[in-house]
Amino acid sequence: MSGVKKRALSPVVATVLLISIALVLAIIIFLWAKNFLPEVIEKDGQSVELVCENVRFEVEASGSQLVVQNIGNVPIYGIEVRVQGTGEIKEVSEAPGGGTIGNGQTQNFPLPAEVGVGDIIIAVPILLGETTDDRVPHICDVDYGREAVVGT
Amino acid sequence: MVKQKRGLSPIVATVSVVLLTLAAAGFIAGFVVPFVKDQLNEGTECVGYEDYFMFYDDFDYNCYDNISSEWWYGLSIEADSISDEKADEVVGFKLNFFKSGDSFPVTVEDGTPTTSEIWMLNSSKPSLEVPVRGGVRTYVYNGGGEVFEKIEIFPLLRSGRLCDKTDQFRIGGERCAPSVNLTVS
Repeated sequence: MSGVKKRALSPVVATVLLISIALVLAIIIFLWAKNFLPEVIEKDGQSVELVCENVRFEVEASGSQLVVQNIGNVPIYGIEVRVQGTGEIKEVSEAPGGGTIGNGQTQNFPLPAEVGVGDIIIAVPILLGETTDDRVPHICDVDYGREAVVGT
Repeated sequence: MVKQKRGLSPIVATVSVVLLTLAAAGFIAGFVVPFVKDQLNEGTECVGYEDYFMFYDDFDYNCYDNISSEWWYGLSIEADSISDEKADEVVGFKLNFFKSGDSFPVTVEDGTPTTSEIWMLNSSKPSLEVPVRGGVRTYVYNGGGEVFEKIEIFPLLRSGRLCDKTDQFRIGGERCAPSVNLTVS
C-alpha cells in the first residue's frame, strides 16, 4: 500500500471555526428576534404599567382650563384628554404645556379646542418611563384616568 | 501502463471558482435575501397587535335588541394605546358573528360609508370610524333574523393582512337593558 498523505484542518482550527460560525449565527438570530420583542418601559425598577396603578390625582375642568393636582407619590409627566360621548370615547390629544407634576403639586393645562362646556372628559395620566437607552412617555390605560365634567 | 491525467490548470480552476462564488453571491443578494426578507415581514407584521381591539364593557352597549322585527347588535370596541407608527398601519377590523357553527363576517374600514348592515351608534354619522389610541366607538349591526352566540374581532392592516383574533364576546343571552338605546341619531 502506497503511503497516502491526507491533509486536513487541525483539530484546533476546526474547533475555532465551529465556535465562530455558531457565535455569528447566534448574534444574527438574536438581532433579528430582538425586533419582535416589545421593549419594556420601566419606572423606578418596575414595569411602568404597574406604576400606573399607583398614580393618584384629582382633576377639575372649567372653561378652557384643566386643573390637575397630584395627590400621590408618582410624578405625572403629562395628561391626555379624552372626551366621552354617547357610546364613544374620543381621543382628543395630549393637553399641551406643563412639565412634570411632582408629588403634591398642582398644574393648569389649557383644554384642547375640541372640548366644550358640559363635555365629560377623561384625563389619562402620562408617565415618563425608561428603556435601555432612552426615556419615553407612557400613556396609562383609560382605567387609571379621572372623569370630570367641564364647567363654565 | 502510464496514465496521463489531464485537468484544468490551477489558474483556470481558481478563476472558475472565484466566478462561481461571485455569481452565487450575486444571486443570493439579489433574489434570496429580498425574498426571505419579504416573507419574514409578512410573517411578523401582526406582531404588536395581539390585544389591539377589545370589546369595551363599561358602556353596556354590547348587547342585542329586537327593533322593527330585526335583531340589532350594539358593539363597543376599544383600541389599545400603541405607538402612532403601529396604529397608522391599522385601517379597520373584521367582525365574525357565530351561530350554530356558521360564521357571518363583517368588515369595518375607517372612512368607508355606513351600510344598512352596520353603522355607528350615532346613525347621523355618514361613515364608519375606527378607534385609535385608547378611544372607543360603538357600532350597530343589523343581524336580520339571526340571533348570534359569539362575536370575534380581528385587526385589519393597511397591507390587507388580517391579524389573529384579539378578543371575543359571548353575546348569546345578552339582551339590551331598557336604558340602552340602539337608535341614537
